[in-house]
Amino acid sequence: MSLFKISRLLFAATAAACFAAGCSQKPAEPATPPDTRAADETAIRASDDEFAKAALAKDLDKCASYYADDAVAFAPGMPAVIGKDNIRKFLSGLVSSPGLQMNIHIESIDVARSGDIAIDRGTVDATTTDKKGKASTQSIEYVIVRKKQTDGSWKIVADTSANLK
Amino acid sequence: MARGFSHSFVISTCIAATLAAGCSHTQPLAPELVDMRKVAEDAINATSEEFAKAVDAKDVDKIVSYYTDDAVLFAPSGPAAVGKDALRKAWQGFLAGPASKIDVSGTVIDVAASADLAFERGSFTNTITDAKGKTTAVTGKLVDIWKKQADGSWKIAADTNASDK
Repeated sequence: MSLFKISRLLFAATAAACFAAGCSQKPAEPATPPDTRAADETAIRASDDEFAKAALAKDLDKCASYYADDAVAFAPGMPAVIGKDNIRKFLSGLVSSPGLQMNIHIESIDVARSGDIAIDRGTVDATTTDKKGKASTQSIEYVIVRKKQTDGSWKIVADTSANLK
Repeated sequence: MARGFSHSFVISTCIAATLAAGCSHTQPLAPELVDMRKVAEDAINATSEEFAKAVDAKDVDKIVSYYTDDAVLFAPSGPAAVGKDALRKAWQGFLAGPASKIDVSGTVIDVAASADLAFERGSFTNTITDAKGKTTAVTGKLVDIWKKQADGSWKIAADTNASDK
């Protein structure tokens, strides 16, 4: 085989490889990513519901599993809680509250068009009972920031709340 | 030597030609997304600076203009302020109190890939000077949620804070 032929062959092979690797998708308008917002909202609503159930079941591991490792939590009358380990301690106080009842009212869920960040806003009525069995209800306004993880699940990165009154 | 040269020349010419002709449409997508986030981050930082100036100037109208109509404010203590009227009252109360200087540091802004929603984390120091000139510093953490408006500006949808102690 002459050098010329080898070069032509090589050119053809390399050109084919270049096109296969670089241009497997037809050059076109920049692709608009799929709009996942409706499904994201459904997933987040389900997540709030599951969290409340896990809290009532005193399932601390499950409650903590909804938070990202570097999450922060701001709760009424408490210093900022930073990181999952500290949030877990904070949650252990919540789930061990005697006679805990939680009613979550979601006011809005706002998902970025790109489906990677979501804001969940609403109120929670948390009822607990004291030693004498007397119930008291605390109403809070909350804002929760979630980020979509690489596996498609949503985790809480910031869980903030304040008393309504 | 000659063969090696001719091969590498063929390959590099091919790659250059392929990139220039075939792949110019698909390659810029990722850098575009990165740029959108960077532009958003810069815009948010610039808005934060203006906001801080309005706070220093005790300009309540200007301060509340940086919030969305349905924004929430969670101060380190006290009840939630929900909506612009409540926010205005909360800021008026704060500005009428002892002289204070808020410094924000260590902020990290996370912008959605679609650059329509972002959240910011950071620390704050509030240096309060009482009537006798004695200063006290209160430190804490903040989480702010920013939403891009129809006119391209960024507004605060949630301004949440908690003290460190």
